Amino acid sequence: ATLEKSRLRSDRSNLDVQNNIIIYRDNVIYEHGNMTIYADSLTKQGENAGTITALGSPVKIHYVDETGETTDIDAPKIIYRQQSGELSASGDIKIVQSSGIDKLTLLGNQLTANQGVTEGFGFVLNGAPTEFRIEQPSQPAIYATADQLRSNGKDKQTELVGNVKLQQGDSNMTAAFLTYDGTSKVISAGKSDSGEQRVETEFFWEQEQGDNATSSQSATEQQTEKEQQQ
Amino acid sequence: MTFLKGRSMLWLLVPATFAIAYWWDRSTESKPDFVEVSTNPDYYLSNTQTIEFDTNGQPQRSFTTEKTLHYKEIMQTHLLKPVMRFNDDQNPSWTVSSEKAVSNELSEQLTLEGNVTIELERRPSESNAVLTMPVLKIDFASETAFTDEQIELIDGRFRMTAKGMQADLRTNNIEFMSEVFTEEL
Repeated sequence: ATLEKSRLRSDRSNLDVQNNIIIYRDNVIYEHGNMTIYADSLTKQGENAGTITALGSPVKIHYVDETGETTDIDAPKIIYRQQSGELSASGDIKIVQSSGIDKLTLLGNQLTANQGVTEGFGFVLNGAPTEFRIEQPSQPAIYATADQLRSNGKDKQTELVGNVKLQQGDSNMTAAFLTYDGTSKVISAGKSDSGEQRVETEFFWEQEQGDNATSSQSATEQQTEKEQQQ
Repeated sequence: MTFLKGRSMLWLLVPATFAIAYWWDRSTESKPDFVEVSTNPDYYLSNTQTIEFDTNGQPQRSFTTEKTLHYKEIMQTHLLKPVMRFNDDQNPSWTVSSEKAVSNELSEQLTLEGNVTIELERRPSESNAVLTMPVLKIDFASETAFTDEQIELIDGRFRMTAKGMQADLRTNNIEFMSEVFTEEL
Protein backbone atom coordinates (compact mmCIF):
# COMPACT_ATOMS: atom_id res chain seq x y z
CA ALA A 1 0.00 0.00 0.00
CA THR A 2 1.44 3.40 -0.84
CA LEU A 3 2.07 5.27 2.36
CA GLU A 4 1.02 8.86 2.89
CA LYS A 5 3.44 11.56 3.97
CA SER A 6 4.49 11.43 7.58
CA ARG A 7 3.80 14.14 10.11
CA LEU A 8 5.27 14.65 13.53
CA ARG A 9 4.64 16.86 16.55
CA SER A 10 6.71 17.30 19.74
CA ASP A 11 7.57 19.81 22.44
CA ARG A 12 11.27 20.11 21.49
CA SER A 13 13.78 18.82 18.98
CA ASN A 14 17.52 18.84 18.35
CA LEU A 15 19.27 18.82 14.96
CA ASP A 16 22.80 17.46 14.69
CA VAL A 17 23.77 19.26 11.49
CA GLN A 18 27.00 17.35 11.02
CA ASN A 19 25.53 13.87 11.12
CA ASN A 20 22.10 14.90 9.84
CA ILE A 21 20.29 13.37 12.82
CA ILE A 22 17.24 15.02 14.36
CA ILE A 23 15.88 14.01 17.78
CA TYR A 24 12.36 14.95 18.82
CA ARG A 25 11.60 15.02 22.54
CA ASP A 26 8.65 15.19 24.94
CA ASN A 27 5.11 14.31 23.83
CA VAL A 28 6.18 13.04 20.44
CA ILE A 29 3.31 12.10 18.10
CA TYR A 30 4.33 10.60 14.76
CA GLU A 31 1.72 9.79 12.13
CA HIS A 32 2.29 7.75 8.99
CA GLY A 33 -0.44 6.05 7.00
CA ASN A 34 -2.83 4.25 9.36
CA MET A 35 -0.27 4.19 12.15
CA THR A 36 0.41 6.65 14.97
CA ILE A 37 3.41 6.37 17.30
CA TYR A 38 3.41 8.06 20.71
CA ALA A 39 6.87 8.28 22.31
CA ASP A 40 9.03 10.19 24.77
CA SER A 41 11.76 10.61 22.15
CA LEU A 42 12.01 9.86 18.47
CA THR A 43 15.16 9.98 16.34
CA LYS A 44 15.09 10.43 12.56
CA GLN A 45 18.20 9.62 10.54
CA GLY A 46 19.50 7.90 7.46
CA GLU A 47 18.48 8.34 3.83
CA ASN A 48 15.65 10.90 3.63
CA ALA A 49 15.47 10.69 7.44
CA GLY A 50 13.70 7.41 6.80
CA THR A 51 14.90 5.41 9.83
CA ILE A 52 12.93 6.20 12.94
CA THR A 53 13.89 5.03 16.45
CA ALA A 54 11.32 5.68 19.15
CA LEU A 55 11.86 5.30 22.88
CA GLY A 56 9.21 5.53 25.53
CA SER A 57 7.89 4.30 28.80
CA PRO A 58 6.46 2.59 26.83
CA VAL A 59 6.26 3.64 23.20
CA LYS A 60 2.66 3.22 22.02
CA ILE A 61 1.64 2.36 18.47
CA HIS A 62 -1.96 2.70 17.41
CA TYR A 63 -2.96 1.17 14.11
CA VAL A 64 -6.44 1.28 12.55
CA ASP A 65 -7.07 -0.84 9.47
CA GLU A 66 -9.56 -0.24 6.69
CA THR A 67 -12.34 -2.07 8.55
CA GLY A 68 -11.79 0.05 11.66
CA GLU A 69 -10.22 -2.74 13.67
CA THR A 70 -7.38 -1.58 15.88
CA THR A 71 -3.99 -2.94 16.82
CA ASP A 72 -2.27 -1.31 19.78
CA ILE A 73 1.33 -2.14 20.59
CA ASP A 74 3.30 -1.17 23.69
CA ALA A 75 7.08 -1.59 23.68
CA PRO A 76 10.01 0.25 25.28
CA LYS A 77 11.83 0.66 21.95
CA ILE A 78 10.65 0.64 18.33
CA ILE A 79 12.51 1.00 15.04
CA TYR A 80 10.50 1.91 11.97
CA ARG A 81 11.66 2.21 8.33
CA GLN A 82 9.37 4.66 6.66
CA GLN A 83 10.12 3.68 3.06
CA SER A 84 9.34 -0.02 3.48
CA GLY A 85 6.88 0.19 6.38
CA GLU A 86 9.00 -2.32 8.34
CA LEU A 87 8.81 -2.10 12.11
CA SER A 88 10.75 -3.92 14.80
CA ALA A 89 10.51 -3.75 18.56
CA SER A 90 12.24 -5.34 21.50
CA GLY A 91 11.67 -5.57 25.24
CA ASP A 92 8.39 -6.21 26.99
CA ILE A 93 5.93 -6.11 24.11
CA LYS A 94 2.17 -6.14 24.42
CA ILE A 95 -0.17 -6.26 21.43
CA VAL A 96 -3.90 -5.76 21.82
CA GLN A 97 -6.11 -6.37 18.80
CA SER A 98 -9.72 -5.37 19.07
CA SER A 99 -12.36 -6.32 16.53
CA GLY A 100 -15.91 -5.70 17.45
CA ILE A 101 -16.58 -7.50 20.75
CA ASP A 102 -13.43 -9.63 20.76
CA LYS A 103 -10.19 -8.61 22.37
CA LEU A 104 -6.98 -10.44 21.58
CA THR A 105 -3.95 -9.79 23.84
CA LEU A 106 -0.49 -11.02 22.88
CA LEU A 107 2.70 -10.73 24.94
CA GLY A 108 6.29 -11.30 23.78
CA ASN A 109 9.77 -9.76 23.68
CA GLN A 110 10.74 -9.52 20.01
CA LEU A 111 8.51 -8.15 17.27
CA THR A 112 8.83 -7.64 13.56
CA ALA A 113 5.91 -6.15 11.72
CA ASN A 114 5.01 -4.42 8.49
CA GLN A 115 2.26 -1.91 7.83
CA GLY A 116 3.13 -1.22 4.24
CA VAL A 117 3.02 -4.49 2.29
CA THR A 118 -0.40 -5.84 3.26
CA GLU A 119 -3.55 -3.90 3.88
CA GLY A 120 -3.54 -4.94 7.54
CA PHE A 121 -0.87 -5.09 10.20
CA GLY A 122 1.15 -8.25 9.70
CA PHE A 123 3.57 -9.26 12.46
CA VAL A 124 5.73 -12.01 13.96
CA LEU A 125 6.06 -12.00 17.74
CA ASN A 126 8.62 -14.11 19.58
CA GLY A 127 8.82 -14.71 23.27
CA ALA A 128 10.01 -17.03 25.95
CA PRO A 129 7.22 -18.04 25.51
CA THR A 130 4.75 -15.69 23.88
CA GLU A 131 1.35 -15.42 25.53
CA PHE A 132 -1.99 -15.36 23.73
CA ARG A 133 -5.30 -14.44 25.35
CA ILE A 134 -8.77 -14.04 23.82
CA GLU A 135 -11.63 -12.47 25.70
CA GLN A 136 -15.13 -12.86 24.28
CA PRO A 137 -18.41 -11.93 25.97
CA SER A 138 -20.23 -14.85 27.67
CA GLN A 139 -17.29 -17.19 26.98
CA PRO A 140 -14.49 -18.25 29.31
CA ALA A 141 -11.23 -16.60 28.23
CA ILE A 142 -8.87 -18.64 26.08
CA TYR A 143 -5.27 -18.55 27.19
CA ALA A 144 -2.32 -20.05 25.28
CA THR A 145 1.47 -19.95 25.15
CA ALA A 146 3.72 -20.71 22.19
CA ASP A 147 7.23 -20.07 20.91
CA GLN A 148 5.96 -17.67 18.28
CA LEU A 149 2.79 -15.83 17.23
CA ARG A 150 2.18 -14.74 13.64
CA SER A 151 -0.44 -12.76 11.80
CA ASN A 152 -0.44 -11.79 8.13
CA GLY A 153 -2.71 -8.86 8.92
CA LYS A 154 -5.09 -9.62 6.07
CA ASP A 155 -7.50 -12.40 6.91
CA LYS A 156 -7.62 -11.97 10.71
CA GLN A 157 -5.84 -15.24 11.41
CA THR A 158 -3.33 -15.60 14.23
CA GLU A 159 -0.97 -18.57 14.19
CA LEU A 160 0.64 -19.95 17.32
CA VAL A 161 3.73 -21.93 16.44
CA GLY A 162 5.92 -24.26 18.55
CA ASN A 163 5.09 -25.88 21.90
CA VAL A 164 1.55 -24.59 21.85
CA LYS A 165 -0.37 -25.00 25.11
CA LEU A 166 -3.97 -23.80 25.16
CA GLN A 167 -6.41 -23.60 28.03
CA GLN A 168 -10.09 -22.64 28.15
CA GLY A 169 -11.86 -23.14 31.41
CA ASP A 170 -11.03 -26.72 32.38
CA SER A 171 -10.03 -27.81 28.88
CA ASN A 172 -6.41 -28.07 27.86
CA MET A 173 -4.75 -28.72 24.53
CA THR A 174 -1.18 -29.04 23.37
CA ALA A 175 -0.09 -29.02 19.72
CA ALA A 176 2.75 -28.10 17.39
CA PHE A 177 0.83 -25.25 15.91
CA LEU A 178 -2.57 -23.73 16.30
CA THR A 179 -4.53 -21.25 14.20
CA TYR A 180 -7.15 -18.93 15.58
CA ASP A 181 -9.53 -17.51 12.98
CA GLY A 182 -10.93 -14.21 14.16
CA THR A 183 -13.74 -14.34 11.64
CA SER A 184 -15.13 -17.83 12.18
CA LYS A 185 -13.90 -18.04 15.79
CA VAL A 186 -12.55 -21.50 14.99
CA ILE A 187 -9.34 -22.78 16.58
CA SER A 188 -7.66 -25.50 14.57
CA ALA A 189 -4.64 -27.42 15.79
CA GLY A 190 -2.14 -29.61 14.00
CA LYS A 191 0.69 -31.98 14.77
CA SER A 192 4.30 -31.26 13.99
CA ASP A 193 5.72 -32.31 10.61
CA SER A 194 7.86 -35.00 12.24
CA GLY A 195 4.80 -36.33 13.97
CA GLU A 196 6.58 -36.10 17.28
CA GLN A 197 4.15 -33.66 18.80
CA ARG A 198 0.59 -34.79 18.32
CA VAL A 199 -2.49 -32.85 19.25
CA GLU A 200 -3.57 -33.80 22.74
CA THR A 201 -6.84 -32.58 24.18
CA GLU A 202 -8.02 -33.03 27.73
CA PHE A 203 -11.44 -31.83 28.72
CA PHE A 204 -13.93 -32.45 31.53
CA TRP A 205 -17.66 -32.31 31.47
CA GLU A 206 -20.29 -32.52 34.19
CA GLN A 207 -22.62 -35.61 34.38
CA GLU A 208 -26.44 -35.05 34.95
CA GLN A 209 -27.29 -35.04 38.74
CA GLY A 210 -30.04 -37.75 38.54
CA ASP A 211 -27.70 -40.49 37.30
CA ASN A 212 -25.59 -40.40 40.54
CA ALA A 213 -22.58 -40.50 38.27
CA THR A 214 -19.42 -39.12 39.50
CA SER A 215 -19.66 -35.39 39.28
CA SER A 216 -16.93 -35.23 36.69
CA GLN A 217 -15.28 -37.63 34.38
CA SER A 218 -11.91 -37.29 32.72
CA ALA A 219 -11.36 -38.41 29.19
CA THR A 220 -8.21 -38.19 27.38
CA GLU A 221 -8.57 -38.73 23.78
CA GLN A 222 -5.89 -38.74 21.24
CA GLN A 223 -7.05 -36.63 18.37
CA THR A 224 -5.16 -36.18 15.26
CA GLU A 225 -5.92 -33.07 13.19
CA LYS A 226 -9.50 -33.02 14.48
CA GLU A 227 -11.34 -29.67 14.03
CA GLN A 228 -12.73 -28.51 17.38
CA GLN A 229 -15.80 -26.35 17.07
CA GLN A 230 -15.68 -23.47 19.49
CA MET B 1 32.55 102.85 0.07
CA THR B 2 34.58 103.38 3.23
CA PHE B 3 33.15 100.01 4.27
CA LEU B 4 35.86 98.08 2.19
CA LYS B 5 38.73 100.13 3.52
CA GLY B 6 41.46 98.53 5.70
CA ARG B 7 42.85 94.96 5.97
CA SER B 8 40.25 93.60 8.43
CA MET B 9 37.78 93.47 5.59
CA LEU B 10 40.11 91.14 3.63
CA TRP B 11 39.82 88.34 6.26
CA LEU B 12 36.07 88.19 5.56
CA LEU B 13 36.77 87.55 1.85
CA VAL B 14 38.98 84.51 2.48
CA PRO B 15 36.32 82.22 4.13
CA ALA B 16 33.69 83.55 1.76
CA THR B 17 35.77 82.36 -1.20
CA PHE B 18 36.16 78.85 0.26
CA ALA B 19 32.44 78.63 1.03
CA ILE B 20 31.49 79.57 -2.51
CA ALA B 21 34.01 77.08 -3.92
CA TYR B 22 32.71 74.30 -1.70
CA TRP B 23 29.08 74.79 -2.66
CA TRP B 24 30.12 75.15 -6.27
CA ASP B 25 31.90 71.78 -6.33
CA ARG B 26 29.29 69.02 -6.72
CA SER B 27 31.84 66.13 -7.05
CA THR B 28 31.84 65.13 -3.34
CA GLU B 29 29.39 62.22 -2.59
CA SER B 30 26.30 63.32 -0.73
CA LYS B 31 25.68 61.83 2.74
CA PRO B 32 24.41 58.20 2.31
CA ASP B 33 20.67 57.79 2.48
CA PHE B 34 20.93 55.02 5.06
CA VAL B 35 22.27 57.20 7.87
CA GLU B 36 19.42 56.67 10.34
CA VAL B 37 20.87 57.77 13.68
CA SER B 38 20.94 61.48 14.24
CA THR B 39 24.56 61.39 15.36
CA ASN B 40 26.71 60.93 12.29
CA PRO B 41 28.68 57.66 11.92
CA ASP B 42 32.37 58.20 12.51
CA TYR B 43 32.92 56.07 9.43
CA TYR B 44 30.93 54.18 6.85
CA LEU B 45 31.91 51.61 4.23
CA SER B 46 30.30 50.31 1.08
CA ASN B 47 30.52 46.74 -0.33
CA THR B 48 32.81 45.46 2.40
CA GLN B 49 34.29 41.96 2.30
CA THR B 50 36.25 40.51 5.20
CA ILE B 51 37.87 37.05 5.12
CA GLU B 52 39.46 35.38 8.14
CA PHE B 53 41.98 32.60 7.44
CA ASP B 54 42.97 29.76 9.72
CA THR B 55 46.55 28.81 10.45
CA ASN B 56 46.66 26.68 7.28
CA GLY B 57 45.66 29.63 5.20
CA GLN B 58 42.19 28.27 4.56
CA PRO B 59 39.24 30.72 4.68
CA GLN B 60 37.48 30.13 8.00
CA ARG B 61 34.99 32.98 8.13
CA SER B 62 33.96 35.47 5.51
CA PHE B 63 31.76 38.49 5.97
CA THR B 64 30.29 40.80 3.34
CA THR B 65 27.93 43.74 3.67
CA GLU B 66 26.58 46.27 1.21
CA LYS B 67 26.74 49.14 3.70
CA THR B 68 28.49 49.44 7.08
CA LEU B 69 28.11 52.37 9.50
CA HIS B 70 30.04 52.68 12.74
CA TYR B 71 28.68 54.86 15.56
CA LYS B 72 31.36 55.60 18.15
CA GLU B 73 29.09 57.13 20.84
CA ILE B 74 26.73 54.17 21.06
CA MET B 75 29.48 51.65 20.19
CA GLN B 76 27.42 50.02 17.46
CA THR B 77 27.96 49.05 13.85
CA HIS B 78 24.92 48.98 11.58
CA LEU B 79 25.12 46.63 8.58
CA LEU B 80 22.98 46.39 5.47
CA LYS B 81 22.53 42.98 3.74
CA PRO B 82 25.18 41.18 5.75
CA VAL B 83 26.23 37.68 4.63
CA MET B 84 28.39 35.58 6.93
CA ARG B 85 29.93 32.25 6.05
CA PHE B 86 31.37 29.95 8.71
CA ASN B 87 33.30 26.96 7.37
CA ASP B 88 36.05 24.63 8.39
CA ASP B 89 37.20 21.26 7.06
CA GLN B 90 35.50 19.05 9.63
CA ASN B 91 32.14 20.71 9.71
CA PRO B 92 29.53 21.59 7.11
CA SER B 93 29.53 25.29 6.38
CA TRP B 94 26.85 27.71 7.55
CA THR B 95 25.86 30.78 5.58
CA VAL B 96 23.91 33.37 7.57
CA SER B 97 22.27 36.36 5.88
CA SER B 98 19.61 38.99 6.58
CA GLU B 99 18.25 42.36 5.50
CA LYS B 100 20.16 44.24 8.18
CA ALA B 101 22.11 43.72 11.41
CA VAL B 102 23.43 45.63 14.38
CA SER B 103 26.71 44.69 16.00
CA ASN B 104 27.03 45.67 19.66
CA GLU B 105 30.63 46.08 20.83
CA LEU B 106 29.80 45.94 24.53
CA SER B 107 27.96 42.63 24.39
CA GLU B 108 29.83 41.12 21.43
CA GLN B 109 26.45 40.29 20.00
CA LEU B 110 25.18 40.66 16.49
CA THR B 111 21.42 41.07 16.03
CA LEU B 112 20.17 40.20 12.58
CA GLU B 113 16.73 41.27 11.40
CA GLY B 114 14.54 40.85 8.34
CA ASN B 115 14.31 37.51 6.50
CA VAL B 116 17.18 35.98 8.44
CA THR B 117 18.37 32.83 6.62
CA ILE B 118 20.80 30.14 7.74
CA GLU B 119 21.87 27.76 5.00
CA LEU B 120 23.43 24.53 6.26
CA GLU B 121 25.64 22.80 3.76
CA ARG B 122 24.90 19.12 3.22
CA ARG B 123 26.71 16.42 1.36
CA PRO B 124 26.99 17.01 -2.39
CA SER B 125 24.23 14.47 -3.04
CA GLU B 126 21.84 16.24 -0.69
CA SER B 127 20.17 19.64 -0.94
CA ASN B 128 21.20 22.17 1.67
CA ALA B 129 19.00 22.68 4.71
CA VAL B 130 17.59 26.21 5.03
CA LEU B 131 16.43 27.83 8.27
CA THR B 132 14.47 31.08 8.15
CA MET B 133 13.28 33.38 10.93
CA PRO B 134 12.56 37.08 11.42
CA VAL B 135 15.23 37.81 14.06
CA LEU B 136 18.44 36.08 15.18
CA LYS B 137 21.12 36.99 17.70
CA ILE B 138 24.68 35.69 17.32
CA ASP B 139 26.88 35.75 20.39
CA PHE B 140 30.49 35.58 19.20
CA ALA B 141 31.81 35.14 22.74
CA SER B 142 29.93 31.87 23.31
CA GLU B 143 29.65 31.06 19.57
CA THR B 144 25.91 30.54 19.82
CA ALA B 145 22.97 31.83 17.82
CA PHE B 146 19.46 32.08 19.26
CA THR B 147 15.97 33.45 18.72
CA ASP B 148 12.61 33.34 20.47
CA GLU B 149 10.72 33.78 17.24
CA GLN B 150 8.95 31.32 14.96
CA ILE B 151 11.39 29.45 12.76
CA GLU B 152 11.02 27.28 9.67
CA LEU B 153 13.45 24.59 8.53
CA ILE B 154 13.33 23.10 5.01
CA ASP B 155 15.57 20.03 4.96
CA GLY B 156 15.33 17.83 1.88
CA ARG B 157 11.78 16.48 1.77
CA PHE B 158 10.89 17.78 5.23
CA ARG B 159 9.55 21.03 6.55
CA MET B 160 9.73 21.76 10.26
CA THR B 161 8.39 24.71 12.21
CA ALA B 162 9.05 25.54 15.85
CA LYS B 163 9.10 28.45 18.27
CA GLY B 164 12.48 29.45 19.59
CA MET B 165 15.88 28.07 18.64
CA GLN B 166 19.38 27.85 20.11
CA ALA B 167 22.30 26.87 17.87
CA ASP B 168 25.80 25.95 19.03
CA LEU B 169 28.13 26.99 16.18
CA ARG B 170 30.99 24.90 17.57
CA THR B 171 29.22 21.56 17.93
CA ASN B 172 26.90 22.19 14.97
CA ASN B 173 23.87 21.39 17.07
CA ILE B 174 20.56 23.24 16.91
CA GLU B 175 17.93 22.95 19.67
CA PHE B 176 14.35 23.89 18.75
CA MET B 177 12.68 25.04 21.92
CA SER B 178 8.90 24.43 21.57
CA GLU B 179 5.87 23.73 19.37
CA VAL B 180 7.82 21.53 16.97
CA PHE B 181 5.86 20.33 13.94
CA THR B 182 7.36 18.37 11.01
CA GLU B 183 5.75 17.22 7.79
CA GLU B 184 6.90 15.73 4.52
CA LEU B 185 6.67 17.95 1.45
